[in-house]
Amino acid sequence: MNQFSPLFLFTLLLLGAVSAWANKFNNQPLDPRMSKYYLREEIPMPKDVVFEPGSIALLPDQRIAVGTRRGEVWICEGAYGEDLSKVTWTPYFKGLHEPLGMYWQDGALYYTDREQFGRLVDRNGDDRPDWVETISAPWGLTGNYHEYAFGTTPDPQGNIFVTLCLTGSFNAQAQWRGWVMKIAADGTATPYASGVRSPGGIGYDAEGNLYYTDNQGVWNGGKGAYTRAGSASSAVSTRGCRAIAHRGHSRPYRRKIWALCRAGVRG
Amino acid sequence: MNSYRFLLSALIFSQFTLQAQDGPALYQTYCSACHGAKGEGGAAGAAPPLANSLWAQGDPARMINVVLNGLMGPIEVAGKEYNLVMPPQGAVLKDEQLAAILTHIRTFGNGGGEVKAEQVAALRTKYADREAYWKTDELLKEYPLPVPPGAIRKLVRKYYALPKSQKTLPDFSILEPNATSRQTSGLISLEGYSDRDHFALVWEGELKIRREGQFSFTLDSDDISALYIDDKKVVEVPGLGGMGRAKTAKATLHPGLVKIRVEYLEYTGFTGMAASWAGPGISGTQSLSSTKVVNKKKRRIEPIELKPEGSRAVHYRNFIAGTGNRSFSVGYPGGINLVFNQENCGLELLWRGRFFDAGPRWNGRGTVRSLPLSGQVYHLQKGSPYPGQKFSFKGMELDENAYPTFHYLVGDLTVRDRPQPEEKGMKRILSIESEGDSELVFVPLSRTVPGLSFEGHELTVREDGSYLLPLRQGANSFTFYYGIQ
Repeated sequence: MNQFSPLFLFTLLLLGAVSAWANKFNNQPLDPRMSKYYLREEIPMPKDVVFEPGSIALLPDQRIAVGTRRGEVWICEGAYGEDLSKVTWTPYFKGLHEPLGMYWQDGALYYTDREQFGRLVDRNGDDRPDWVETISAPWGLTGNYHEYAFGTTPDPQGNIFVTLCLTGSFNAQAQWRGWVMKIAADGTATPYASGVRSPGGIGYDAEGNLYYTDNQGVWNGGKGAYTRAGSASSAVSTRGCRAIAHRGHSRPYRRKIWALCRAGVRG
Repeated sequence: MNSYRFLLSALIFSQFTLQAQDGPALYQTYCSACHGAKGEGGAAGAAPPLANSLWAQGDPARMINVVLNGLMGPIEVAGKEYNLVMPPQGAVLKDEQLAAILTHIRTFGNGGGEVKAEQVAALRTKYADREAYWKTDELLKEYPLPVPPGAIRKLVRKYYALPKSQKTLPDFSILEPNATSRQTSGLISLEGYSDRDHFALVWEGELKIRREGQFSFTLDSDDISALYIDDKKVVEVPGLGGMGRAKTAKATLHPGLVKIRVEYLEYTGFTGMAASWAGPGISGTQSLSSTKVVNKKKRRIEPIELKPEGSRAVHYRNFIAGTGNRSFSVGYPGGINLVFNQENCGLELLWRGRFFDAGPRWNGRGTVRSLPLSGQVYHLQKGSPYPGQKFSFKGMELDENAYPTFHYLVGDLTVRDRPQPEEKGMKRILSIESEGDSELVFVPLSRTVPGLSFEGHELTVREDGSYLLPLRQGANSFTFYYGIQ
């Protein structure tokens, strides 16, 4: 559990910063009830950088890597400190393709972006990656803006899970769009579950169950389905959704799938 | 574990609040992310406004249906086209909640009035078996948009039959109209004449100016038209031609009634006439005609030009026109640029000039592929650079200036592919590790490219443009050179 807590806390902090921005945008005061439930501190962001963060990874020495929509990775130092005015941001790498999922392991920063699951490695110790590795790129792309890929941190066996948004709203015009892929540490990819539309996040709970959220309901009624990490066959929702994907239908089966997904979520 | 209890209680809390029949709060939760806090539209201009929208006025059935069963575009709202999917919310929202949301939306300058849960329930029952999103045409056929009263008062239309030789607006002062009719719609319309040739129409009426200021008038026609305010020509669409030639001009007007006169000439073929105005006291752009002016101007997207920083190369990973969907672009100091296509392990594009404008991808929605900003772009590969071989991309090594060396496997061979910019072009060094003596077919340039000189050092090009690379056990190195004029 301990390894999750700082991430959780930091996510809150970052969400705080984002929601502060959103509230400024909407010109509305923050809901005072928030402070009752959350410790919320704003981390100063780098000036004159359009940040649009999509990934966060915790690094050794209390450093934090943040990936942006523009494909940049920034390293934040001092976020755990008492005095947040001392926080510094350093550009680490520019040239990923909308990373949505990052983690640090064994001296490398692993990422999932639109194009691949890969890692950035700083081999010469100058605090910039000099090896950009493609570990696995098993899914298809048409170049459609909607084809995002979200990746998890590794499960205990070292697999990550990647959700692959559809091409546009309803169709898969390239391989494995609308699926969740399991990718082993050696890059071997296995189709794991199908029926996702435009997932906005994927992650585990404390018991290792894997959840994803979907932004609109086409196949699954707009609710995140759950699937058990490491055992595809146990997920009722998975089977139901896969049948639909194969037939190329979506709407007519929505209600049925909704029911299946509900049955799949454990009480 | 505490963190999770924390999260759980937050979730329960939010579930609880969402069940209240509080229109503004429900709107905030379900609608505002796309349509804006006050219905002003959002999602970077992709989602339509709900405020001052004909769609949200009149019979609420139209909106109830859209929310219950979803809507697939394209749709037009306040003269702008939108093409997004409105996802159905019928499964999520109860009748009372949906009614509360719509009642709130009707306060956004849509005439107000309560939408009742019974109205929602009735339509939910009526379309219970509906499995498809509404399509725009289908919905508006069943539930048409309310017709706004036309802006032009005391509108009269005069019809003139013209000789076949007439290709310009005639001098109407010496002509007698063949027909005159009052237009109670208050809108300029070709109704009754749209399939005729060789005629002119003149509309005359009054516009009410509420506040002093500058007004803009837009005119579009097939063929010729001109708009006068108080007998002064403001804007015209000259010359024979089709719709889509809209012209806009401005006039400063004072409060009170002004005379509006629109002259129109149709030569032959298709007909069309559209006019609109905007200015003080008018919300947005108001159409003066039954056909709406189609604004072809696109939203300006702020450019983001990517450039090398000092001695460091600039990188860009995105969808690039003319290459595969997994590519890595490098802009070197000195102005030579390349795109390496990871999908075929080929050096695909090469050019001298400016690198990329990432604006359309990063500031826009990202629906167009990036194009090199300037210069003659050379397409080097057409097919595979290693015909008949299996290859897989492994990664890239970056030197202190962020210059990449691409690593990939061709069959069992490990290849390191290093582009090195020079003054007159791009040197490319292939380093190949081989476990034994063999040879490899390599196509560094799949066709003759005008303006590009090319040589493979110490190697002979074969008739089909390929090179046979002789490999000895251990490290092998081959140098190629692309000379860019």
